[in-house]
Amino acid sequence: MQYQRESWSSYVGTYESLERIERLASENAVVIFSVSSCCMCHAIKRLFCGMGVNPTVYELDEDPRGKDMEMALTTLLGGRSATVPVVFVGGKLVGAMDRVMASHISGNLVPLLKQAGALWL
Amino acid sequence: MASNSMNMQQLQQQQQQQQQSQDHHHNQYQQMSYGMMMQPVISSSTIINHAPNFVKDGAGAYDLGELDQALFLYLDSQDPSSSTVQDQRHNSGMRPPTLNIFPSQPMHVDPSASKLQGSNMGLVSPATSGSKRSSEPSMELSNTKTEHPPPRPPTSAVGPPPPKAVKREGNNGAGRRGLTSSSEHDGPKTPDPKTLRRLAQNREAARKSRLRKKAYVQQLESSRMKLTQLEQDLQRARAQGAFMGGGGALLGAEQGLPLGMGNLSSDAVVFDMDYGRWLEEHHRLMCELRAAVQEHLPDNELQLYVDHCLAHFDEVMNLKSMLAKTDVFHLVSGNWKTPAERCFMWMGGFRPSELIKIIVNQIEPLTEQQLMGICGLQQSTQEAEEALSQGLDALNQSLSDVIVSDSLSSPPNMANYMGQMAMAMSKLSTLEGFVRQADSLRHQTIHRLHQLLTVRQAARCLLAIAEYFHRLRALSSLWVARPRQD
Repeated sequence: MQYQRESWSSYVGTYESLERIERLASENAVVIFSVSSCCMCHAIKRLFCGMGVNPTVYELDEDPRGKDMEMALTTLLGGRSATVPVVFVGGKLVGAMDRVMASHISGNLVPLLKQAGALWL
Repeated sequence: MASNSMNMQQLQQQQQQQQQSQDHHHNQYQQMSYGMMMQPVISSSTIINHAPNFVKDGAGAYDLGELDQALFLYLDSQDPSSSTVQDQRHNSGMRPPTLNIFPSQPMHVDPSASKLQGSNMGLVSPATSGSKRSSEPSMELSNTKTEHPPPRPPTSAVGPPPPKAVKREGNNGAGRRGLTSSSEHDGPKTPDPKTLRRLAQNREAARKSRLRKKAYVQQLESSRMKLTQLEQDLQRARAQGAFMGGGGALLGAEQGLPLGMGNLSSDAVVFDMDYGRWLEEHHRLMCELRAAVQEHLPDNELQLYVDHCLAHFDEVMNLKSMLAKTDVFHLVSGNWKTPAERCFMWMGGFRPSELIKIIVNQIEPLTEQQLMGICGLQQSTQEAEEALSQGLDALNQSLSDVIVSDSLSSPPNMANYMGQMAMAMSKLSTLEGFVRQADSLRHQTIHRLHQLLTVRQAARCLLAIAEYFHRLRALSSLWVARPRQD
């Protein structure tokens, strides 16, 4: 695991970030952690908007603690190279772009969104 | 077969006449080929027809080699005294009823190896006058016909394969048949050392010739590949030279050099070849699937075919995934597809939502649940495609912004320039991510369809998809070959 190699301070930093992420994720039905210059993030935002969902987006490059949060997200996802975008629905982690798409194609995303109250009808 | 035996007799007479001609050896070859032509041997006859011309068929070089061995085996085991053709034509396929005037055993065969060898005593002649030799085989013929030893049944009765003595002889000879060293020492069995040696040498020469030809062809092919590679490297180097040589020239539209034209990385070449093979296999699998559907196989059997097709589809996805890591532009360019396919391509492949449209007529009747599932799939694929397309547009825009920026204008500020270029490169690299997502979308769509449909529906669905692309490819061929009006 990545944070086993880090020093104690950055471990704490990651832990704090994880806590913050969890907190932020549970505040809204659909939460996306993004980077403003990332085009894949743009794509995922368009996906949700196209479905009629109004996601809450946090741009990590505009956040002072963004770096730590990115690292924390990397840990959450199991050490992927490209972290963002990461999507939480109803406070629970859905994943990065590929998981979101897979979930949508297999027909699981819409029920999840409805359950979280992000989609009506 | 009576007609055969009559022909054989005529043949023998003919051969006797021929033997009196000058070129003794040559005629013996001819006789051998005649004999073999008349022989109802299944596999070897068609090729041994032209027995003297061993190197006939390059593609079957090894086959000929094996037949050569078979010929050896035959000649070794051939009972020289029993060359009455009528008897032998009933033998097993390995023994054409040729007159075994020159068995392939080398000279130094043990005289006591077979009692049958004794019957050939009269045939053995030192390499003396040709005329003497020419009369010998005719003697042999008459000798062998009259002196025919008991083991072989007379006339046209179907004899068992040559008696064990001959077999033993054959085994002895088989061990030594590779030897061309027919020494001058006259063995009791062999009639004609020179002929024997020449025969063996011919065989060797033929074999060597075949091997040389094969090696040559392989060399040609590898050289061709190398040549293609060199050409591409050259083009790439030239293009890169032009690129680096004028940093400001990028802005000037007068450059006009098509940097990407005709450049194929080695990965792209390999991918094209792999894809070609995949297509052939795909076609074969689809034929099998079609047959399986038409035969109305039970569901569990049909499922196997469907699963096989799906696994094969996953293979091409793997190929594309590997190429995306090193040469995503080749994937996106679509040069590996036919023109018509390329035209309607989306992010390096087909459009998943289009797939749904293709199959929607093939899968009726649908249950309520299936219908809902299919509609949901159609909608989700469309939404996903739209999202990815917009993401790609954003990438395009972002890239343009970087390249258009003032840092790149002349006079070029090198540090800034390189910095901007690096940013542009990193943006470009995200293209791989998009193509990957698009392929993932295609993969998931296919598997979701499989999930939603019954086995029979899934089979029909796969066939319909294959047919659609097949027709597109056919259309491309027609298009390319269309008559131009000049």
